[in-house]
Amino acid sequence: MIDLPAYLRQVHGTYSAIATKIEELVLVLNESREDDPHSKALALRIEKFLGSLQQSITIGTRAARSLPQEKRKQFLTLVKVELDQIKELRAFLTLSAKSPKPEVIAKIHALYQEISTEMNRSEALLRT
Amino acid sequence: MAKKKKKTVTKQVLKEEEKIELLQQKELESLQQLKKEVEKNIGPHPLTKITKSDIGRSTVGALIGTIGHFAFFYGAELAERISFHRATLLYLFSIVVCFFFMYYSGFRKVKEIKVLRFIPIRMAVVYIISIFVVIISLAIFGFVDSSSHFEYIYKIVASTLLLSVLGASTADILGKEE
Repeated sequence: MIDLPAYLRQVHGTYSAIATKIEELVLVLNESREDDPHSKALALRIEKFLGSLQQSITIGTRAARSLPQEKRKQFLTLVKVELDQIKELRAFLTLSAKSPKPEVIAKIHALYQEISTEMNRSEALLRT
Repeated sequence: MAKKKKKTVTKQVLKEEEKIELLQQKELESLQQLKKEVEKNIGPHPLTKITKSDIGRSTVGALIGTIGHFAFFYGAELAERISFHRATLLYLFSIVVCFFFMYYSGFRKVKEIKVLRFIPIRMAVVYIISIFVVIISLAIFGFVDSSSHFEYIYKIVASTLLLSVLGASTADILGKEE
């Protein structure tokens, strides 16, 4: 069985790298014109990366079977929230490539921070 | 018979476990790969980079702030009255004004969103350009030259810097609309 905390750290590290790009995208969407091709391309690439990360989380969390039942339940609940948020973020990123409206930018900005918070929570849960 | 069946099931479970572990190991490797790919493959967006036109815009803005209304002339007058410490405070005050100016005016569509990470580098560029523009303007108008004392240059630049910084950061922010 793989070391779950180490796996989660790796997931978090990868997400942090993606989050840096999301920050950049949020800034760019907030500043640029609606038809900016660079921001469109950036949004779609980030969406693709998030797709791969989502898959990795799904596979990696199978290692949660080794956790005590109560902890496993809590952990999996957090992971589910995380995955739902990633899914939602991917949808908004795709939408931002088509129409970067202020509500879409605000939602991307909120979601990427929420995912980071959820990841911190699941990491903290495994530490206890 | 039951014992044999149990053994087969255990064997199958172990095999499955091995498969899953292998898959997870593979996924861990692909995660590391993904991180590298994210860091390498997506270069910074043109808007987040400091370009020649940014520098040009800030220089023109700083020039307008310094020379407009002959601000440097009043700066030179002020420099004679202020102490070295007060001049230092003016340098710090200019940085603070530059930061807040860019922080509160720099984000367009969604005002609540402030991405702090990009401000320091822009602020540093605007600030350094402003200092250079003030020194060059003062030199052009004959207020400072190679024989001027450091303390005098320090004070005279400090007293004109605020206006120069305001001009440069305004130009930087306005220019992003294009």
